Amino acid sequence: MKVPYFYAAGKRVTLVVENSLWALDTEALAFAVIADSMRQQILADSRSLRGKYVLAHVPFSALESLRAAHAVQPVYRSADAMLVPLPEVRVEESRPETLRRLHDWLASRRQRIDVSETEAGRLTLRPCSGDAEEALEIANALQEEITPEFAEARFIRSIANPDEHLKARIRPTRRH
Amino acid sequence: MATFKYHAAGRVRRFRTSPLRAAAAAAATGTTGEPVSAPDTGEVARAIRGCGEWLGTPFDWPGADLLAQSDHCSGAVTLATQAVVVDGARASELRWLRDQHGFEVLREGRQGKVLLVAPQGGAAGVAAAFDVGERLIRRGNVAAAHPNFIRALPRLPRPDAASSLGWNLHNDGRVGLYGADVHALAAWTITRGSAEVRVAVLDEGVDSLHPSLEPAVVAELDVVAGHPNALPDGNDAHGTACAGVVLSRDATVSGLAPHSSLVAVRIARGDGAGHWVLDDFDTADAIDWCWEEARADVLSNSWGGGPPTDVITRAFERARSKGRGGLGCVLVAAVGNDQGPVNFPARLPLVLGVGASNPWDEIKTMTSRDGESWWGSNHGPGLDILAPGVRIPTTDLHGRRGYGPTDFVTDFNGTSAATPHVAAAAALILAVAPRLTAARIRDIIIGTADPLRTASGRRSQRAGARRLNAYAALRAAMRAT
Repeated sequence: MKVPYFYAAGKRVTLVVENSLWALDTEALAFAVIADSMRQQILADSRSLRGKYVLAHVPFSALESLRAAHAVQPVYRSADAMLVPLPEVRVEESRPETLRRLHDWLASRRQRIDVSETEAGRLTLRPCSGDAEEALEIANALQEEITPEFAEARFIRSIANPDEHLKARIRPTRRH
Repeated sequence: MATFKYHAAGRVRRFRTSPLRAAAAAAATGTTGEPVSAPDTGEVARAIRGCGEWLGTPFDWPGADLLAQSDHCSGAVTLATQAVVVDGARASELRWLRDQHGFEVLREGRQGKVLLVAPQGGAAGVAAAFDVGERLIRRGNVAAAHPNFIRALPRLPRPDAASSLGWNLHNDGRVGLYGADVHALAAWTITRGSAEVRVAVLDEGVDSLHPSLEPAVVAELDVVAGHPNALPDGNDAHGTACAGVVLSRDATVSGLAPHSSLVAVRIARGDGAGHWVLDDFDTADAIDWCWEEARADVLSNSWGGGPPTDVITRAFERARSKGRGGLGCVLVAAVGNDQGPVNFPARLPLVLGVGASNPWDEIKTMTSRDGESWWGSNHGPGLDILAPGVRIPTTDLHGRRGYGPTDFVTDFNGTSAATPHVAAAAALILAVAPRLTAARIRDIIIGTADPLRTASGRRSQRAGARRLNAYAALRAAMRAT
């Protein structure tokens, strides 16, 4: 089985798949072919993540339908944080020769990747599948084949709330 | 009034006399014209007149006012006397004084000090004391010789007055060790910051309507919800507490750089389950906005965790290389509270990684003397400096929301609390030395920090085991300009 990873500062950072949680696209969820009661139950047990995304436990029986509707994205763990990749890759390149190679590389994948270049050398790539795992693969392939100045999938990260330590202080006091 | 000369510390000093009451009045108004804590010299004069001597030094001034010199800066009043102090004199010198000038030995002190008194009374005796002091120095057979002065000094501030500040700013020793603080009172004799210097607090939002913060706010951004201000959700008070440590303008719960300006940036929100959620791209965009559009000079980041990502690293690199017109923004970040390795982004080389110290000037651990056994400062590579991080008084959300029911909290904890101290110190430095590069400021802050002591009392050699000293940093910055 392939171990998921991404590149930071030119080094591989390994990701661990979070088996029990999924990032759920609440807009796409509306189009998933599942029972309304299950839809309500999934949302009731979820917690908000960012924008239209929530973190949710998804029953195995509903997973295929949600995948088909592009409503679920994988959740990973790395260095005490939860990472949720979005189906989006940001690329930056200023060297003309590398930029030309980058454009050639993307042109050969026109069917799979939607490209927008807001200004020369600053590109946003979106896999046509809407799949965040594919966005990770695109970013990794770029790092390994083109090595642009910057290529990274967009992540939402969930880290420990620094306030937890303050709350920990209050709890023992209240016991007295 | 008369001016006398005497020698002290190898230099000729001038003693400009005036009547005691005039000197007292001058000392009491100081240079700014505002009242200072001057001695009650009227009372001193009455006491001196009443007893006519002070520990054997005569002050008989029948029909004349006492002569004194006032110090406008300190509020001290120095009274001239008819006695002269001689240190390290041979017996032949003392004989010379007696035979030629009529001075008699009044008292002999320890280590060869002798106090002699003039034969004349009144102003003539004072003049004689100055005169023989000069003559003895010129003869070259004494270590020191000058008139004996009586000093009426202003009372030092009562500990209660200063201790209304938190221990982080001024530790009076009631909790922990005296002086185990960032030396704010000394730093404030130089500056309390400048409105020209902007500190960005990137957090879960800042209560920019808080009365102690609102006057400082110059720019706001919310990359979480896109609101026009950076107000936090519900009871999310962390960012407000961090901002208060930097620049709260409350007289009692003051920030370290209260005259600085605030750029409030909301990059995270709580998920209600003990986590903060951040979008790496939006976070990087917020960092870029800080240096590019909000013209922030210092970026304070009391957050961290998870693996490094290039998008955030590159934004910090741009802030460091392009911010402040190429001088670079000062970047500070919390190392984390797990007593483990330093978090990202604090471990980036271009970021000042800040750990927490306690009132005993120890690195905060689960076994340090503060008794908070549930957290410890992260340490190791990436930890650059420590700052107070235990029970820090600061701002809370305005009204009944936040950590408590009032506008202030007395016990903000963690490397989150330590980090804004270093951001504030950088802001103070920029107020007096605005052309220093970020790299130079970083070197100054680290280089002037006080080394912590080990249990055996020695200076700790542990990397990063030095506590911020804002006063020393400011002085070094002034020398560097």
